[in-house]
Amino acid sequence: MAYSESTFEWIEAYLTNELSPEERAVFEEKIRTNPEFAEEVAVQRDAHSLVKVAATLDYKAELQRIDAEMESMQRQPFFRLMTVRIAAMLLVLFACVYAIVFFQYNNQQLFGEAFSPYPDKYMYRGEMPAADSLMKSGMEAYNQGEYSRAIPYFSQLVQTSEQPGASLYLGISFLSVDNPKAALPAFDLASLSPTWAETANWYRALALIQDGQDEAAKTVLEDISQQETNGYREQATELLGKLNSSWRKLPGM
Amino acid sequence: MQKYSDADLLDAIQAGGSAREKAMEYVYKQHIGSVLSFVSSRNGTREEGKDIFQDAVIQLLISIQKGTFQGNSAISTYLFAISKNLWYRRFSKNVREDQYKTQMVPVRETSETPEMVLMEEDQQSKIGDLLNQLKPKCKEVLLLWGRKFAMKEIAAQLGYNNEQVVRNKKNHCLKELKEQVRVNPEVRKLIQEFL
Repeated sequence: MAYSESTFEWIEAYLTNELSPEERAVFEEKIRTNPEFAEEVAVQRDAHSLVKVAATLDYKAELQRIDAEMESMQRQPFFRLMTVRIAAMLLVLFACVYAIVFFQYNNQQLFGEAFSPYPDKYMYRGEMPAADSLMKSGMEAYNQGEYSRAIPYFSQLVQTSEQPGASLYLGISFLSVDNPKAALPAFDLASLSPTWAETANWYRALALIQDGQDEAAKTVLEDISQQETNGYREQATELLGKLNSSWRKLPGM
Repeated sequence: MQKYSDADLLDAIQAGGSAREKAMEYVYKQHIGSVLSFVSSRNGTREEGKDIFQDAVIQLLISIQKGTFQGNSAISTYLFAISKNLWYRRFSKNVREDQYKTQMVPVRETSETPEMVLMEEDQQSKIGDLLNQLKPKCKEVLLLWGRKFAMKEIAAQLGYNNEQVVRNKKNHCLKELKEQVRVNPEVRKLIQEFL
């Protein structure tokens, strides 16, 4: 007897426990009373069982896949270990090179290498009596390395009288306390004096480096390095070379 | 990889679908080492060891599905015992019959002997042949359904629009398989005896 689609689905609902208790009772009564129907259910149940067995046996293919994956990963450890070791070595090497380059070529390092406070030559210039109390007090503090204490004396001198020398030492004092922005105007003022211009320009370049104004610093240094009689020519050329170094293109420089 | 207790493994395997897949992978990776060592100590090859262990894992799955393994012994112990029995049966050709019998490890969870547990290859072929009468997509859907994946998961895996589409496909394919089963009484008998 050919059974309909709905009968297939009814049998399916029974085999997958989707019938209510009442529906189940009706179904089982039919199995008991109708041998043909009972056989139909048995065939469908065997089809279910066949799928279940086949699916279970199919797991072997899945286990073989897992095994192949494990084998592949086990082959890799040596190469993975070597790769990790090489990568670690390269990283350490790069870090060392970077550290060396950083400490050689960053602005603070360049400034630190090039800067030293200008010696006390003011009293020998003859522009102002060495007995001038403000200048004397300022230079005393300057010579003792107490730049913060020297600044007020030089500032007052710069404001109250034309003292290009005081401007120079004021700028250098500001540089010594890491205040390049305050130093720059002082050097601008000092460079107006032919006596102090050359020195003021050199320190101006250093102030620009300390302030991170690389391009402006290069302009000043190029200018100095092109002046054959400039006392800072050699230093300016060397510093310009470092400023132009390709190492400075690394991040963080 | 997630860690499982034996109780967790039993639950996951009985649940079917992706939970079972993950549990089976865990079982395989955790326990294959000891079986490979055993086979190697008996001068077996790595491939022989893997084949043995894969069948042992299938055996565990069958035993759990049939209810003959209920977790009274550790899964590791059970798997190792099955693996040893399979080894002596299949590959230990130089072992004398009396030595073979004494080296068989009793597996308390089932009264079946290891010879009865897994189908012989020719029997497996008969089942495979019936399924291969179906279109590949039908076989795919039925095998995933047989592994107790939810309709939603099957839809996602095989790219069907929704669960109802998968359900309809499964019913259609099962009807075709049913007709194959109807005309293969030998396979029906095989299935009925196995389960």
